[in-house]
Amino acid sequence: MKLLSDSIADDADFFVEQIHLVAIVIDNTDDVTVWATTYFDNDTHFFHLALPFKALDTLLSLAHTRAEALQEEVADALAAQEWPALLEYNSDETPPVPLPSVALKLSVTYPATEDGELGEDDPDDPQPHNIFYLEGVFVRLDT
Amino acid sequence: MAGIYLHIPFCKQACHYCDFHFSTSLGLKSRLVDAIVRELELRHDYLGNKAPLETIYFGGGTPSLLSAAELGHVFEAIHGHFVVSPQAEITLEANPDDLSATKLRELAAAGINRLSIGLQSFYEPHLRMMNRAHTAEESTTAVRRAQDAGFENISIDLIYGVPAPGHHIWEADLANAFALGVPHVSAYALTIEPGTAFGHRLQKGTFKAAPDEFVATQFELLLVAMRGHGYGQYEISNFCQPGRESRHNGNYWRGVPYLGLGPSAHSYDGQNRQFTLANNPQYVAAVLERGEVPVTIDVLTATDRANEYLLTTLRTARGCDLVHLRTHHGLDLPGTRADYLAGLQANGWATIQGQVLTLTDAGKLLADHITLELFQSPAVAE
Repeated sequence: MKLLSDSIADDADFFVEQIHLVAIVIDNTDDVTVWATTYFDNDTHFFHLALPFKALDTLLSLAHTRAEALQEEVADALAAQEWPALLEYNSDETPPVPLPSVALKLSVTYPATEDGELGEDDPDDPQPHNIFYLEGVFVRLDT
Repeated sequence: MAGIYLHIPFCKQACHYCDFHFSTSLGLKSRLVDAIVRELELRHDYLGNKAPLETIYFGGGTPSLLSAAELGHVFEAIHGHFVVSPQAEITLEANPDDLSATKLRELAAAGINRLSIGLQSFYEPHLRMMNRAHTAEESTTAVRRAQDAGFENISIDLIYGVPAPGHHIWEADLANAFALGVPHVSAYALTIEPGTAFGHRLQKGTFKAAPDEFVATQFELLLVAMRGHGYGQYEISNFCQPGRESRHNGNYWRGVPYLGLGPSAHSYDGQNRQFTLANNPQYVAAVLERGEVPVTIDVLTATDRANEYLLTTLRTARGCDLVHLRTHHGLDLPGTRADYLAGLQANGWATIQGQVLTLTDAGKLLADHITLELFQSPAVAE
């Protein structure tokens, strides 16, 4: 498995497909983080996805038969308020969650420098984070 | 001015925060409607005069579970015993999942002209957490469908203070609410009552109530957002576009008499209150088999009336008229609680202008505490 950040060509927004969610991380911030994989170039690529809670809701609603259970698990994690909460889907009992027919549009993020500024213009450290921000969710409609 | 409240104590499923009287067993629904109709016949003189009804309110429970025939049965009885003003506000509380196009046509045909839709949130995990019967998508589609069916006078309920790591979900809920363009919004803080599912989960440790500061911040976000979108706060939990207040609830807060029908309903005749038994089978049996309405009469003392006046008016934008409180209820707050009133003003929690005591935004966060502080104990006032 590769890191997605090692395989992107530049810092333009891009799409990924054949996505599996492997974890949802809820911490004490306004956004939520999803750990996921995408498959292309004959390899699986792992990445972190930062997104608002409402967008997570959209993603989970596309998980077909597992959607309801996933939403219940997020609800339980929010109710318990024991953060950070890690909901893992990477075992035989709770396998990765496929998002069939879904493409995600992602944008690149860069590590913050010591003074808190993004370092994308830093010629010494052009490498983006393996944390991407969700820009859009697209669903392929079968005709 | 008088109104009628009808309590429909049935729900498809129990919301985890709810401590109202209801049953999820619908087997008794038809008989209970018969009993409400019979109660209406037995108590139609309760309001005394025969002035036209200005408001009718179906609350619950979930009144949108009533069939067209059941609703028609109730309205036939109302019109048989009362004159209903042509301008009457006739509200029905509805859950989003009940509001099909067919259902909406039935409600309009029955005479319902105002819907109070209990959507509570637009966020699916919060709806699941609260065990609501509808989905986030239905929160939006139900309101849109009601608007398409010709219902313009719509209120929606929202709940804030639901556990979350930050405030984005609440901010998004507010944005979704404003996008619907409804004239009235009721927003309530999530409270955890003993005996509810949340209450049990709290004891088991699988649920934690959001911290007070978190809830207070969401209340402040609510006030700013409502003002920014042109909604006035006419009561602590109620917001509306100009002139779109709930007339029925406004009458409660002004002490207007009303008749409450159905189990657990309250009634007020201008002097005393009555509480109907909160037990569906016993209520049905008493009314239908014995022709008796099982009510408890709460005789209000002068102290009770003074405290009720304080309680209701301090929650409203018009505030507590200190002259009325003294002349009608014998309670002279400026004379007896001058220091406390001065403290409220010094802390920025209240203002007194023209002898009217009104809570500020900061004071509204402390409304319950301030009201309790100002309450008169029977020993003092009697």
